[in-house]
Amino acid sequence: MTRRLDTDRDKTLCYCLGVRYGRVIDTIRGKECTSVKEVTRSCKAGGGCRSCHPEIEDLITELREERTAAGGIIKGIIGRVFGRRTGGSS
Amino acid sequence: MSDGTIYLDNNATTRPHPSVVEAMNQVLGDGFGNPSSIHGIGEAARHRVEGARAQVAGLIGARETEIVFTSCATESINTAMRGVVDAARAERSRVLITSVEHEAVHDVGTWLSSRGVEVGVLPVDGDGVLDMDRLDAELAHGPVLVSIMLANNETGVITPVAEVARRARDAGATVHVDAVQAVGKLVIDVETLGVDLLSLSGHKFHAPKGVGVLFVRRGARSRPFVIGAGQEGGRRGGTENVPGIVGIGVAAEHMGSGIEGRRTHLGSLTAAIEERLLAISDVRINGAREGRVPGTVNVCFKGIEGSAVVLTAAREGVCLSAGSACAAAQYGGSHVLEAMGVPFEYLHGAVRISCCETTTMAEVERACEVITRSVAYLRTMDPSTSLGES
Ligand code: FES
Repeated sequence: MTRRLDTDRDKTLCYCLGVRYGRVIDTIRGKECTSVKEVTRSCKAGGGCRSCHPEIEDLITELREERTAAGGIIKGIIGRVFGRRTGGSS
Repeated sequence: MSDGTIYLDNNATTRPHPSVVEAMNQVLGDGFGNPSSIHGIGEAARHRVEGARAQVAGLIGARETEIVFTSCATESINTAMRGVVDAARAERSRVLITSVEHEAVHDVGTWLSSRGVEVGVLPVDGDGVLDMDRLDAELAHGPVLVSIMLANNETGVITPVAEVARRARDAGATVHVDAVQAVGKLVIDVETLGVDLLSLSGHKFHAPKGVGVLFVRRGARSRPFVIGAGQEGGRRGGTENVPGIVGIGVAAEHMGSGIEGRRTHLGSLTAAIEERLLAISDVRINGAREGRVPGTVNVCFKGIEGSAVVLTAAREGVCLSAGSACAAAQYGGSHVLEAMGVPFEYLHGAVRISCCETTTMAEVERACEVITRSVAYLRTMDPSTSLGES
């Protein structure tokens, strides 16, 4: 499945406000936005006709999944490191 | 323009694009056939009409079979509103519009209400933004139709059409959108907007006057308004305006491309106009600061008449408008600005500046100088300077 996250950063996502994919992705990442409302408040995307809202929602979901996956990997590393140091029992 | 005139009234009408003129001239010369005729000349005309239908469908993400050519947006709006009410007549008779719609929508609303249809009018706030809570409350009454504009002709404010359409369709209403002022500035996609009917006007986007479009989603419940000999698949009678249709097709293709560049250009013109005009005292820019189509600036000068500014500027070769061109000849202030609660002392001082893709920075700079001078002059000379100060 093609990810929204892989869309060209310079491509316009929200035509009403003239906001590109890159800016929306950075906003969601930087501010950890969990709703379109938060994204609109931070970078204006979605503040017009709202036809781009499903696209922004998809980006939020993909970035949340990315965070969760990254979080899992970090937890795993910490678990392994501390597990070894403490003798491995939990 | 070649004679030095600066034309900044593009929301009233636009100059046909050279490629439009060229295509139309060709049709006016050789393509005079009636598309309904079954001989070669008729067939050639039909072929051109169908080519234009594909171009317009491409502009708004529709199927070719969903495009109906009309004579203008007013006819499209009449067809949409009256057609939907007519089709549902026996069941429900409630229609929802907003307080900032174009006169065409308001007047059809008035006509419908004189025939027993209940017409609800949704308010907007001081920025021209729709009250969504009121929308939900009104939708609970089960309207058959919601008619709403995508971009306001006076202020350029964009309406959350996709959200309105989603809620309206969930409530069982058919949704009509007046997208006349959005072409070439926003991406208009009937799928992502989720609308059933959509009206366009050729002369607002570099096609000629006398041709419009109505998108009718497959399966939408609507009846024809102009009844005739079965043209346009029985949805609009009358022999097709082939040159006009060819013109709107070419213009649609032109406006559908290069939207980003056009937006950037219009955005910088808008910013320059606002910066210069805000330097004048007692001035206000109407409409939300964000969420407007670029290229339209609606400004009010306290205590003077907007039409006086327009006339003074016209003497210096700058074409502007006081509010909408359609309302310019009527008495009274703009119903749009009134609905937005613009204070009385500003209300009559509205001037609309509307650019297009060929407008240059030098032109808007010169226009702003002329406006600044006109306002200063009128504030000194015009007895109505005391407007609102009593
Ligand atoms: S495209 Fe984003 S609000 Fe219209």
